[in-house]
Amino acid sequence: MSELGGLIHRMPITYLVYLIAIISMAGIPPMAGFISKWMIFQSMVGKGMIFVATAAFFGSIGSFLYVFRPLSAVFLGQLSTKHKKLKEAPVLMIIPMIILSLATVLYGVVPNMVLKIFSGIETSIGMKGLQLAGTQISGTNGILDPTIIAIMFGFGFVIALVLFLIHPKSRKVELMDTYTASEFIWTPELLHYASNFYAPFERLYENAPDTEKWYGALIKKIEELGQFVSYSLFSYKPSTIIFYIMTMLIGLLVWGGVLWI
Amino acid sequence: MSKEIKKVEKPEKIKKGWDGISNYFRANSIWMLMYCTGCCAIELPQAMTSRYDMERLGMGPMATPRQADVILVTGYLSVKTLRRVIYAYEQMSEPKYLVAFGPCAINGGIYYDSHAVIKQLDQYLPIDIYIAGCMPKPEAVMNGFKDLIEMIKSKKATGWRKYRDNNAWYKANQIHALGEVRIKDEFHE
Amino acid sequence: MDINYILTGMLTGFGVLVFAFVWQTSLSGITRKVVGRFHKRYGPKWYQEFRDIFKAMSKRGITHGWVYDFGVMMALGGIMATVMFMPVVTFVAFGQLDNFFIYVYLFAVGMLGMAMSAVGSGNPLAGIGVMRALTQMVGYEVPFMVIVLAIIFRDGTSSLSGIAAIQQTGGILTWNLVKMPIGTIVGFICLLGMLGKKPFETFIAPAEIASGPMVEYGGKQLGMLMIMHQFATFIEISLFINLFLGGATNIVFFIIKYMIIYILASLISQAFGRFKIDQVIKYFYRWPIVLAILQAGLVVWGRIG
Repeated sequence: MSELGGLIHRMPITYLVYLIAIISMAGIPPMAGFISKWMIFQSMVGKGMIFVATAAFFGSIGSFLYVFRPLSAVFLGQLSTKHKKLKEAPVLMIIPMIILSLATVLYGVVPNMVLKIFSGIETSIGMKGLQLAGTQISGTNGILDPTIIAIMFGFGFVIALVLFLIHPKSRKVELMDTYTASEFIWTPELLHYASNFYAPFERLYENAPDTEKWYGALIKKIEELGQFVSYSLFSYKPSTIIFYIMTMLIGLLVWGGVLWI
Repeated sequence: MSKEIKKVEKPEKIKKGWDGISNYFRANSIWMLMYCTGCCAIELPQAMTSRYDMERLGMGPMATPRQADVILVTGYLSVKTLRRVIYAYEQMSEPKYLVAFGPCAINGGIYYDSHAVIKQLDQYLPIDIYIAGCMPKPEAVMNGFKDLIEMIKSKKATGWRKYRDNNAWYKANQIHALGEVRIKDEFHE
Repeated sequence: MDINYILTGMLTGFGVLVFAFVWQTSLSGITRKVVGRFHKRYGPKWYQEFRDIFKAMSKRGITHGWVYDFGVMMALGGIMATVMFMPVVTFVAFGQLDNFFIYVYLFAVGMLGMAMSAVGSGNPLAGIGVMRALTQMVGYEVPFMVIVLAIIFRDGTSSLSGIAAIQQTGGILTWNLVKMPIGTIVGFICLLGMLGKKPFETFIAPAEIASGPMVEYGGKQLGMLMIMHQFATFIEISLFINLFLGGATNIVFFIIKYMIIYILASLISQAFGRFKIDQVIKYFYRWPIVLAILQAGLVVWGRIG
């Protein structure tokens, strides 16, 4: 990732699809991921499983961290000079991406279209189904209305857009004309922050016992066992083979009663 | 460069009516970029702390040129520093002001016979107000800031317009003195 | 879906928005004056923040591309939507629909928009600032969520106005401040982390990384980010008041509680230096999480408080 950067200027549609995907993965309204996270939290808190809920929340916040790193290292930042001639992905790759993004947005704004099917399945098994009323979802601890959230988000965005447009227009400057404490820098690679992105956070647990290393040690032990077996039983020296054949023959003869020991 | 100037000029002419209110806001909340080029910068912490409090005038320090309104050139300018000051001044958002401390920006000050010091800053960048003293005491600094506020309110602080309209003249002077403003290799690359 | 219901909700939300902006910006100015007196000097006037914001909006800044502008608008839009859902005394935009989880996640829209726009300006210092802000978010969210999930479990409702109404039934003795004192202290420490006050000011860090994400902003984008910062402060402190201090029955009490919390947080922040980012994480995962787990255990299993 330290060699890529600034690809948003060459592939804007891929960027938008990625952005919608990570908004949904991090569980942010108005996308579909928020609905599922909300329902999970409602059921966990309703049963009193506080620590599982905390672990789930930690995972949700952590997912925000790890999806943000590719966004900022690959798409945003400085565009390297050797990537100035890239083109957008071909149309046949873009069409499925756009269809899936539209599905995410649609099911985030009106999820009840899909949830009615699940509620029907639940009642036909005999469980108490989801309570759906119009566009609202009722959980054990509260009510959620995703359509109203989407409408208010649109309202807020419109106010921000109006505020943006009535003030003086900004002039466009290129990406390399940025704050460097007035130093003159000419290579874009020096101004791109991508490798070791979360270094302070990783420093905190780098001395902790690592399960990957433990698995690596276990694999090495199994390899050693296999090598021992293959060395002792399946070697290419004739003396070892003759030894094993003689031992087997003597054992068979003793067992058969011919040789009496 | 000239295309940029033409595009920028039109919005300013249409919205003349907002100027009075905008100047009130700009005069009463000035954010400064301390470009501490020389010795006069020692007098700035006194102006910021409790005795000669600068925050009651609405001024405060800001970290980068993009966010700042006024750039304080405190002290003498060598050839290397002038290149960086010009880069910082061009990165600032308009409207922007420049305050020069001490006599070094007028005629070289006590470094008048050095080969590496710029003698007249006015030829390279437009200056709105000079503050006298070598170095000026904090009372003089506060007086200078009050004068700057008066100038902004009465629409006399138009150095940035001068820079935009006479850009060719300023650029010619800069190249004559420095050779090249955005140099490619001084220490590296 | 009722069009009347949505329109009245939007109007009430807009009223809450205007009140939040005017009140929080004035309080910012008043706090600067109080902090100035704390330093034995005169401070600025109480309406100084308004002048700062309007001056920033009237400058002609720069732009680095469409993601730079779009991110700022997305951030401000998301935060404005969150403010419109916030219950202020009895003015709630949409009755029972103000879930606690909406606030936590819509806040993340604001942070994502600002992060996108800051890194889209092409400056590595902005990337470092955003990395620190996200790491700090991991630190303060987890103890806060443990306490709030315990409150939701005990009260049986996750609607903010519902939690506030339950606390107003018996006067001061039913506030969560009195029933769960350890939880309130942990909530206050996490509030300091959320507000970005010292010692948790790592992601702004003016002299260290040249104000972090705001390094390339000038002009109207900076003004919009300042407005967003005021709204974010309003949301966080109102959340604290509704969760732990029993909401408010009329506007005077709301203003008094708000002032006490904000000025206390500002005065505490003046007495500290700034933590490094790994010190922030180590701090939050030592005592605050232990106390939060203790309080949650008492509430859920011990049925105390």
